[in-house]
Amino acid sequence: MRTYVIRRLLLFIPTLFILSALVFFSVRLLPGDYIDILLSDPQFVGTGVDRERLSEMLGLDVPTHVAYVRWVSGILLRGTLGQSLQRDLAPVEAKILARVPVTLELGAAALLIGLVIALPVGIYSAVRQDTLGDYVGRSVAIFGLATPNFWLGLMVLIFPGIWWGWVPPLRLYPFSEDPLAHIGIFLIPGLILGTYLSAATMRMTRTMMLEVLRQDYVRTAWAKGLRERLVVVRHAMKNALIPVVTLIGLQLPILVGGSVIIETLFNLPGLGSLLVQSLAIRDYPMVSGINLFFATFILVNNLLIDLLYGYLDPRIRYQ
Amino acid sequence: MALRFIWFVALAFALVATGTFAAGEGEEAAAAEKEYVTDPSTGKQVLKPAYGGTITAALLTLPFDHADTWVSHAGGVFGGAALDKLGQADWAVDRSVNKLVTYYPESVVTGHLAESWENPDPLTYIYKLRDNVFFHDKPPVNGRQLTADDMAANYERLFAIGRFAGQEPAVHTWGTKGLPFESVTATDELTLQIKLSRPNADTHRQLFDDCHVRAYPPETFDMLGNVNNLIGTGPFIVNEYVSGSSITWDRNPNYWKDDEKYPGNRLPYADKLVMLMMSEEATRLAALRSGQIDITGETGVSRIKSIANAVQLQEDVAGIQLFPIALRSETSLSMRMDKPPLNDIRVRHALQMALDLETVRDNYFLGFGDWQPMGSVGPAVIGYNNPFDTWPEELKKFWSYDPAGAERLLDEAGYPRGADGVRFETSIMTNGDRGDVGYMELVAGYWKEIGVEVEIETPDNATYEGRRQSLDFDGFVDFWAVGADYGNVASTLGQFRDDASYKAGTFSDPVFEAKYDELEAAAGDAEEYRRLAKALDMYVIEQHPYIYGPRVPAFNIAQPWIVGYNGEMAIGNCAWNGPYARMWIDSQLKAELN
Repeated sequence: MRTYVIRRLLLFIPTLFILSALVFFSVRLLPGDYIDILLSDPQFVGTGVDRERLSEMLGLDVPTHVAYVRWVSGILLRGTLGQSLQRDLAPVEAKILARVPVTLELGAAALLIGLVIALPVGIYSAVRQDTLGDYVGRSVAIFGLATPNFWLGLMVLIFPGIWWGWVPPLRLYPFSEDPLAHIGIFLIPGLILGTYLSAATMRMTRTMMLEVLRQDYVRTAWAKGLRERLVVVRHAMKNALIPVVTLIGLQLPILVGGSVIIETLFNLPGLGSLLVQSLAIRDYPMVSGINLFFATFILVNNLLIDLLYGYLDPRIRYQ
Repeated sequence: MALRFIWFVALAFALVATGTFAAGEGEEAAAAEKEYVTDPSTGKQVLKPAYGGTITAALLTLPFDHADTWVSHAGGVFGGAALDKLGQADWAVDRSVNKLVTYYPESVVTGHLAESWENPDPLTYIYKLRDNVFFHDKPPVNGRQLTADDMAANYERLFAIGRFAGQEPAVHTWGTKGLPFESVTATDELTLQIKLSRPNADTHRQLFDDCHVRAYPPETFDMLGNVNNLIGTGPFIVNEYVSGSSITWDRNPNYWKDDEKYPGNRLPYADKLVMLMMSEEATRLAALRSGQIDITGETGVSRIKSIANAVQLQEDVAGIQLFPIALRSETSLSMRMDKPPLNDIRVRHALQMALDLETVRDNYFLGFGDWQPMGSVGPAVIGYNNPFDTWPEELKKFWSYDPAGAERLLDEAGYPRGADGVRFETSIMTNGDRGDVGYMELVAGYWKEIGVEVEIETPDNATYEGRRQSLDFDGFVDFWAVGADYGNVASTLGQFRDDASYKAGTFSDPVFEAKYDELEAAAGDAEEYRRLAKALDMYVIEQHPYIYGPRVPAFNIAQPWIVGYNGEMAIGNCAWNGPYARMWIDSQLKAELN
């Protein structure tokens, strides 16, 4: 096990190196740059702006590969992701860390809501296979999978407002100031993201439960005359949920992607909305920094899922 | 019906889940009988000014976390809330022509931090600051008095002169960019003397109403990378800045100014100002419907651009105040005039003549907007603009709907219809984030009628800007400098210069350059300057370097309980937050409606 973990950790180095190059060069391949944005509004600019001077001032005058070497050197030697082109005092990593809690809270809310919906429905569908309840549950799951987050988010913002004058809370209060209001703003976006996640989890739970319920040891449990709740919860569910845990881990990248749109729509100042804003103005250091953060997060997550899998199923041993 | 039921069930769940979490402000309803006063600028009866409460406004999400006008539009974003400048537009005058509350006629611009001023010779400008202006009571300045040397330091820093000579000038120096500064000096505690190296007719207005020069205390120059460090002399003090989310401001108890309309009423009226950053228009509209914000509009750089949505909102929310505001034409098109077919003025005339702008205005834009063509200088820039009615008839016909005439011109220009009915193909590249793609499709439809095939491209903002500025397009691009009611005339017309940073397509004309030089040379003579500016605007119109599209409004929108606000966009150039200090809340009405 230890050898496996060390090997995986060592593999992080080339993987992160390749990832860093990808996230750095990909954003710079896009047409348009920060100076184009600065000079985009006739209301704020005039004649004789020295574009080359601006490039020099903002550090955009060097070839991309030189900028990459500087960026990587900054990470390795000084532990910094650099400075935003906006010239804020805080370095990129500080701005990222300031936004992480919101994205984590949204992700946690979505995962929690997704599980609260998916597990009972998935188990019920398996235990009551081919009944009306099973069909309804599966249909809802397919609807959840087929519905884009951004569309559902827009509908939730628009129609309840038109029909009943109600829309979800849109102001993030600091937790220390108003804990309930703070939690409240995450519920609806969490529900929207969670609905999407629950669809896949529910289908996987149902499939695995069906498989486990047909195992000999479960039949033995039934034969012993155990009550249904005991058979399902204690004997079947525990084993059925092992692959589900893996699936939940694999859903984290989906959460990251979903947060980009949902945070923007529901006014949540997380990493997703920061990425959208930074990309819109081609703030290269911010975009590269956020993407590297997301990539590292997913790498670590995948490792943890693998380790957790081995912990949950003692039969699995890594060589 | 079924859909509504599903929504109802979902809503019931959401209400149970979030009902207790919903934040409320708990405005106390005033039981007393209401008293009214006359608004001197509109003549309307309005609720008597009242103190207290919280104004919650939408602010377009800031892409930056700093408060430094040196590098961004921060001077405008925070202007009027925390930051003051020498002059401002007079809040008390009629705004029926210009909701921008700025610029022309010059009499609209009045003293703000400056109590008096004089212009003893064409090269010298002297401003006497008020003696009752104090910075916010926060370290490191702790409420000390504003001095002339503070203002001098701000000018010097932005333009890299004096004690900042040799350092980088500000990224944005629009407005005063053209001013030939020789020196900026504090001759005593409250007297600021500015000397130019050559005369400039627009100097006083530019110094008074610049977009970027603000009264920051010099002690904080190095701290402005954090909005929480922002200190100024304005009516509101930063309480808390949450990156990407909100700015909460407290009333400045030591603010120095009375309401210009109601002398004796010390500003601001509201105890708190909360700006919620909302980048999505759908989010802002939802927040208005539910009363989570009191106002959205140019005051927070958060106008509602969709006419249909604004009209729908007015139908749905009783009493909501809708103020249509047109800043400039954002549907006009500039073009590649450096190559065929658009280098031929007959082709440009023809393409304009193919557009039935009045019908488009009445139907597509639901009757909102100015459909009659105009020059680059907007109608609110009184005395400098050229209204369509005053154009020569010979010129007017090239800017009026006449598809048959358009076809004749294209035949004359050597672009007959081919066997497939097509004369030539071109393209429109419109900003996918900010442009009006629907309108461009209408334009393509009209042009197809005269045999011109159009491909519409809609890249995202940054890609669009990169391609526009590197001339990576074949036909047309958006042109946002027509009918401009902002900026000084030199800046507006300067968009057509060869070295303009916001370039109008590929317009390049030595005659124009010579005339522009002549305009600059006349800067010392206000009347001659005005005459030349107007003539230059007309010269541009004659060259037809853009296809005019209707000057369509966006909307400032306020809740019914917001009083003292008449849709103003700002209180002078880039003083967008100024109106917040001058509006108050009808708390009784607010309690009734919520």
